[in-house]
Amino acid sequence: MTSKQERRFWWIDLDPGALCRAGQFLDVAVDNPATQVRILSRMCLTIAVCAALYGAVFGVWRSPEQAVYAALKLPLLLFAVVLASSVVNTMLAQVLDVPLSLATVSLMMLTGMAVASVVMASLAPVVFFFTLQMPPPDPAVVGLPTAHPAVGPSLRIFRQLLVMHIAIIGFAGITGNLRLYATLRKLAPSASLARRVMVAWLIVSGFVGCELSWLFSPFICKPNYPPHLITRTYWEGNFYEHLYHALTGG
Amino acid sequence: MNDETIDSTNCSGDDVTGAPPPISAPAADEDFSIGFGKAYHALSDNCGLTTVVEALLKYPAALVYEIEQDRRWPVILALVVAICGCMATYGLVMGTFAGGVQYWAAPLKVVVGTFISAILCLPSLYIFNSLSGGRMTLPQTTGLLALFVALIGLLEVGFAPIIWIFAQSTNGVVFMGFLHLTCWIVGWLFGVKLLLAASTLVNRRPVTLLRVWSVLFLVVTLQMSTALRPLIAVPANGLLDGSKLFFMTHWFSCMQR
Repeated sequence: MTSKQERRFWWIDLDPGALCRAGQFLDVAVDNPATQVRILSRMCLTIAVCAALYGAVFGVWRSPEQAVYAALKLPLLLFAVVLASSVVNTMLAQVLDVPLSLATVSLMMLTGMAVASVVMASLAPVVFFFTLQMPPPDPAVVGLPTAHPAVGPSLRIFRQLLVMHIAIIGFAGITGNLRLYATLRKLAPSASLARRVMVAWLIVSGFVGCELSWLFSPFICKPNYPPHLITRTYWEGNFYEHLYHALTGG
Repeated sequence: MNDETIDSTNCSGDDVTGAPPPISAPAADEDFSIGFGKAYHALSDNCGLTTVVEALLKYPAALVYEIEQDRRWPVILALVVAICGCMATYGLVMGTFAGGVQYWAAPLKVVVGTFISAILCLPSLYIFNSLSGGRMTLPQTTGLLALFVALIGLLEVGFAPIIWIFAQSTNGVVFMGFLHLTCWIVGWLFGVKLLLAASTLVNRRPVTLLRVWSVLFLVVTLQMSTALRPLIAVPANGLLDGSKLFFMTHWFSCMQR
């Protein structure tokens, strides 16, 4: 393609369908550092736009203000997962006999997150529709304790929506990262090594992602709290402690 | 950036600098298209409504061919008109149960609800197809979606006489609801079969994630039916009920009443 045609058809690079196929351009970028910056910028832009779109839908049930907070935080969450796990994922790849550089692993993880963001954005209209079908939160319960009976009905809707969003984000995240397998297969000496690296990355990203999503909470916000950006008390514990107490009733 | 570093073709495989590559019929040993793909050729006639409807039932692969070619927009327009007509007819028969305002409210709601459901699910259809490695462009995806919904509509019209008989001979709202649900699911199943075959033909490979998408579409249409209720019973407070319920909650409460 000539430079004039490239300028004219710049939008092709942003085609979400081509990104979801995640084939040729990623394979080429791995071997060609000159293209990595350009592809890196495209991935970051895709994550910023698509994750923000889904984030807005995530928080809109609570209030438009919460929708704005969630739209700001969801892209940051995805970037934070990549930042937190790229070093350990690089090390894991190398000890599993798949010699990948930090730049390559970071680019691949960003691509996986970009694909996940596109999947979330594609489901945003459906999720928004279902959110509109749910009864809105009762404004009279703001400030009441969570155990108050009046909070119950809105809290039930909140939990249903939260489960739906977690399922969709989990599906998008796994799908986005599994798209990397084709490239990993080409880079790894064997299919079994590629699979091990893929599983290791999924476990690490999932582990880190759960904790970071806890720290970045709330995205929807419980109906008895006013919309806010960050819950400071969440920084005094962690997601897994909370899960343990929730499961054991402690 | 040169051709080696970025795909210089767009999603349909067209070289952005020149004419689209010729579309070739799938090989005979691709067993996923031997039956469906036999009619994979141009429509012999113009893309009028009757031609398209006939092709939809008898040789839908010809419509798939047209959707891939330059005549896709006349075919899509004909399919949209067919969807409006079929869903309006189905809605009219639905409205004969309660009569009165449902004679026009039910067809209007069925048509509007179908189109809104399709539009809500279009982005995910395109992305799920791409995730599976498919190379359909957004216009082609729109055409396939129109094909899918049009077949559902056509089958619902086929069920219309049966539904009318029961509508005239029973007072049970729950039974009629169950009947409509069954007819919709049967139509959806045939639509899914067509969608999977058509997408396999277009993409030259199976597109497995579309099975997930088809369930998503079904759930959206079922929720849409609850959002637009009442569709069968006589409306008590205006055209729409107004209260917000998940569709399964609504069904269970109807059955308990």
